[in-house]
This record gives sequence, C-alpha cells and structure tokens, in this order.
Amino acid sequence: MESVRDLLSKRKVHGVTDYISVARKLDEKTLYENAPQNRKIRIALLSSFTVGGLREALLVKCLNEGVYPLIYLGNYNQYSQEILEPSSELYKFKPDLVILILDTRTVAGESYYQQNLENNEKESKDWINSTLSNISGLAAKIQENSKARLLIHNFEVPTYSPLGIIDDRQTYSFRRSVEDLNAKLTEIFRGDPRTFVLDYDLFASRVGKDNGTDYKMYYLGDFRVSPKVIPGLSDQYTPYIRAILSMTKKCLVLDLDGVLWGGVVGEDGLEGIRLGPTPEGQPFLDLQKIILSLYHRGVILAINSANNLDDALEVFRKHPYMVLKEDYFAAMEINWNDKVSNMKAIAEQVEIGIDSLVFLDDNHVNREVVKQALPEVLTIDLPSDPSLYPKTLMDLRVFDSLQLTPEDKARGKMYAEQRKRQEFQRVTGDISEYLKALQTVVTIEKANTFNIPRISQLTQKTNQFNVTTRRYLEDDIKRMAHSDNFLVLSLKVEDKFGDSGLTGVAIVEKGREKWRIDSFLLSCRVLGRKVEDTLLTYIMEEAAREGAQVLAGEFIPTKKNAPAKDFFAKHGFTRNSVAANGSESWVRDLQEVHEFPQFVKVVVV
Amino acid sequence: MDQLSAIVARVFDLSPDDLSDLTERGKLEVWDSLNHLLLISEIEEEMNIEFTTDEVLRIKTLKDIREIISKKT
Repeated sequence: MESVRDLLSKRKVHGVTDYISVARKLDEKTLYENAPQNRKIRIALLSSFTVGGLREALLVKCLNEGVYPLIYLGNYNQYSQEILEPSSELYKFKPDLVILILDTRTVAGESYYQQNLENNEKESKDWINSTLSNISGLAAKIQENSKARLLIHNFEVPTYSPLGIIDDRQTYSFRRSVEDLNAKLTEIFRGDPRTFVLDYDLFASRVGKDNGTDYKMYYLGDFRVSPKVIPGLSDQYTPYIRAILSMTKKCLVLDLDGVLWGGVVGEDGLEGIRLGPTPEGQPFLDLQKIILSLYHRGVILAINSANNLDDALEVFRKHPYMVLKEDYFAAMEINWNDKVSNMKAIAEQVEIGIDSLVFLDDNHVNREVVKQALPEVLTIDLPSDPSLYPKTLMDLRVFDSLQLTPEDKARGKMYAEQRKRQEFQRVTGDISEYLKALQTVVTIEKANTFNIPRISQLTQKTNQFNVTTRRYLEDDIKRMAHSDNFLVLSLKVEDKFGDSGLTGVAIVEKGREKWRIDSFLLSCRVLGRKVEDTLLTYIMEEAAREGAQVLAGEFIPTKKNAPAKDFFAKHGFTRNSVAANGSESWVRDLQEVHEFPQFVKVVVV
Repeated sequence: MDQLSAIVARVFDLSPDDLSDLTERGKLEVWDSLNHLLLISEIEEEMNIEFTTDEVLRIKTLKDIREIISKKT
C-alpha cells in the first residue's frame, strides 16, 4: 500500500475526481488503526444534499497533514433521523467531530423563491427562530448522545432577491433574514465549548457565489455546492481538526532582511531598507501588523537571522516604522550560525517541540536547508513578490485554536519575561540563590466556572510535563469538579519577573485509603522553579488530612513526555509495576515526610 | 490516446485500454450516477465546454460523449 504522499507526488491532484481516485488507493481503516493515538480522529459528515467527493478530499488532505481520520458519511439527507435516533449508525460510529452541512434552500423551504412581499417582519422573525431552535435541538441531541464536537455550516446569503432593487426597502427581505439567522447562529453557540459555527457564507464569497453553485449539477444530482469547490470546502475543516488534535503551531520564527523589511540592513543601512508607507515598504509594514496580531493571540515570536546583532537591533530600536519591538520576541538568534542550529536553539530556549515551529524566510536556499534537516518545522514557501507576503500570512491557518483564554492573550509577554528570567539565572549562578531571589508565589485553586476552560485547554495542549496525557473536554472537567470523588486543582505562578498565569493542573481521584493522581501537568515554562513539588506536596497534605494512607501515580510514556519521566521517583514514590505498553504505576506512603519546598510561597484560595 | 479517453481513464481509475467507444454506462460499475456527474464536470473543466442537462441525461456510451463534444468544438 502506497502512502498518501507517494500517491500525491505522482499525479496532479486538483479536482474532486483526483481526490476520489487517490482515496480509492488508500486503506483508510488500516491507516487509522495503526496511527498514533493523538493523531486519530473520527469524523462524521452529515448533509442535507449531495456532497460527492467531500469525504475523499477531506481524507486525503488529513492524511497529507499527518492526521489519520476515519470518516463516516451520513445517508443522503437523513441527518435529522440520524441525530435524533440514539441507536443510529452515527452514534455507533462514535464520532469525535460531527460536521453538519445544511444549506439555505433546506432551511428556507418555500420561502427561498416565494416570500410575502408585505409586512413580512413577523414571518421572517418566526422563521429565524424556528430554524435556530431546530438547529440547537439537533446540537443538544448530539451532545447528549456522543462526546463529539460539532461544526455547523452557517448559511449562504443568496445572490438572488425576489424583490430586485427594492430589497433594501423591506424591513425583512429574505436576504436580510439569512444574514440575521447567521448572526444569531453564531451568537447562540458562542459560549458553547463543543459547538462551532463554520462561516460557509464567507467561504462561498471567497470562491465567488456564482462559481460555488453549478445549477446543472444541482438539478441533476442535488449538488448544492459545485463539485469544483468541494476540495476547497474540505480545507475549511482542517483548521478545526488540527486544533482538536492539539496540532496547533505555537511559534513563528522570522528571518529579518527581506521578511520584516525590504533590502539588507547590513548593506543598505537603517535609512536604506524598505519599510513604511511607500509602494515597496507598505507590504512589509502590513506583514508586521499581521504578525503583531498573531502575537496578541498567543503565538510566540522568534528570530532566526544571519546578521550582525547590532545592525538588526538598531532597526528595532530606531526605525520609525518598525511595528514589532524587541520585547515581543521570546528568542532572538541573530548571528552567523547556520539556520538549522538556530532553529534548534530557538525550540530549546522557548521549550517547545520543534514541530511547533513555523519558519518564514524569503531565501529559497535557506528554506530548502531547513526543510531537509528539520521536516517537522513548517517552512512557508513565501512568494517571490513581497506584495503577496501579507496575503500568504493572512491565509495561514495553522495557529488556529478552538478558544482564546486570558493566558493565550498574555503568552507573548510571559515568554519575554521568561527570556529575562533565563538571563537572570545565568547571572545568579547558584540555584538556591536564584530561587530565593525569584520570590515565587504559587496559587492553588480548585476548578471553578472561571478556570475550567483553561484547565481543559491545558489537558488538551500540554505534551511534555504531563504524566498521563489524558485529554479532557470542559464537560469532563466540570463533571469531575462537581464530584465528591475528585479533586481538580489549578495552579498559578507569579514571581518578580511577572505572572505566568494558570499553568498547572492536577486531577486526583479520592478513595478512602488511597488517592490516585489521574492527571498532573505543568506548562514547561514554569518548570525548574519548584512549583511541581509545591503542587504535589499540597495534594499529599490534603490526602493525609482526609485520612488517606497512600498516594498512587501513573506514568504513561508518549513520544513527548520524557520531562515528566522521573517525577514520581524524585518525590519518594516506589514503582509497583510496568505494563506491557510501558505504563508505570507508582505509590507513595503518606506517612513518610513530605515538605513544601523552600523559597516558594503557597497561597490556597 | 485522445484527451477524452485520458480523462475518463483517470476519473474512473482504468487503463485507457479498458475503454472503447462502446463502453456503456451501467455496464461499468464505477460509472454510477454520482461518478457520471463528476466525470461530466471534469470534462467540462478540462475541455472548456458545457453540456446541457439533456445531453448529460442522454449519454449512454463514450461514443455519445464524443459526439456531443465534436458538435461543440
């Protein structure tokens, strides 16, 4: 069996029939069964019309990105029955993600062409409300009968109006009703952590609504989306799939000359580089603004540039149109080392996996070198014309995550603080002097309405210091937090350099004699400050206080969690057993001494 | 091999040798109603022509497609 990459390299894959043909040669089930656990996803596509080729396009695109899906395509226009019937094939399939593809004609019925031309406000509002309640009813059923997340298409605003140019004279034309329906649809699901609305109307606009419908295909085969745009439609789903699997990229690594500004600062000088409101300088200025918006969304920024450090810093400090400031960068590798060593140094400094990096460099040779040496890095093929840079970055969807927590928004700042902390540690030398000078304050708080989204997000995203790597949805966390049998703890860290925010989670199952650590994880950037010791000691104190004798822990090895491997051994646990899959079980006698670490102030709220 | 046979072979994953002008819809498993429409869509795009709805419904063999195309080009 050939891999999807071989198949794709051998032929032009463009139209929907190409995807169908590639998919025919793939054994999706075997690929799924042999795939790593964190790359598997079961997707159900439910639609109210023919979506021939959508399943195949999505399958091929997922596999090409290293995602191994199993895709269930619901029967033609049977979506209601499948969702409402708890014993349906849909629920037997046990989807992780349900994509509900309804179109405007389906929900409009007769009013697509015939609407009451007078006094239609009440009629329109009734239609909007009943459509919304149908959809939210379906969403509720899916939540009730499965653990799946749900992605719902919104509705294409028709290009046709039965009223012609007097469409705008009506309080509620049909087009206006669809716009309103879309706005309300987004609104009702905005706070729902499991349901997302895909802006299908935006997709239709981007491909051009006239191209998005092929009337012949519609009348002949009930294709309401032209087969020509089906592959493009499947691209709208992949950012959600990557986000669900925590494959979101975390760090954007930038070259300087030719990327943040035009020209070469070492040769052209501060005045000679192109950056600012001129035809040549504007694309670079806009690119920097787009990068800044990524930073505000929690994307970590770093520099990998062959330059004299002083030349580069002069631009950051003195150029009037420089949008990005030194402080926004978590790592700056500005030197004459090769790009590959610099990439590795950046991953190490920022403490993230090399596969979380995205690399932007205008030099084709540099890109090839990085692609060859570090295929895990996503190296972007920048077009040769800088006027296309802003669009390239705007279209890059790899940083998308399912939600934005306060920690995401502050992440850039936290990494800059971390850079200062590392410098301070180098200067201080002695570790206990360093810890003392840091004045660390650890705040431990039980799960509550405010921190549950972040707790769930951390279980989804933390790969390295994570003893069991169990992923939990917000609902799971809520359930455990409300149960008397579980203790769900969050941890915040603050020190003289700043506030790292909520960066640790522990979930403990409370037995009478024995408490069991179900999950224990910390964001890597707070490691080495004794905060893990603090959280563990707190758990031991609580367990002992409630009369438990023993604390049990598990270590489930993954490709990435080596940093947590010695955690139990270091804290007085003894290994009980090792299972065939490598999972270790550990226990600790709570009678034995356990003390909070020195120099860390503990606050329990 | 002509352009049409190439497209049909590619869409249906067949060797052009397996195809003749007499190849018939309904006799070829892969040429079902969904794939028929996708084939037409593909031919339209590659050869830059448009079939009418009636033509699409009337097609029974590769020869039929060829005749419709020859009228249009």
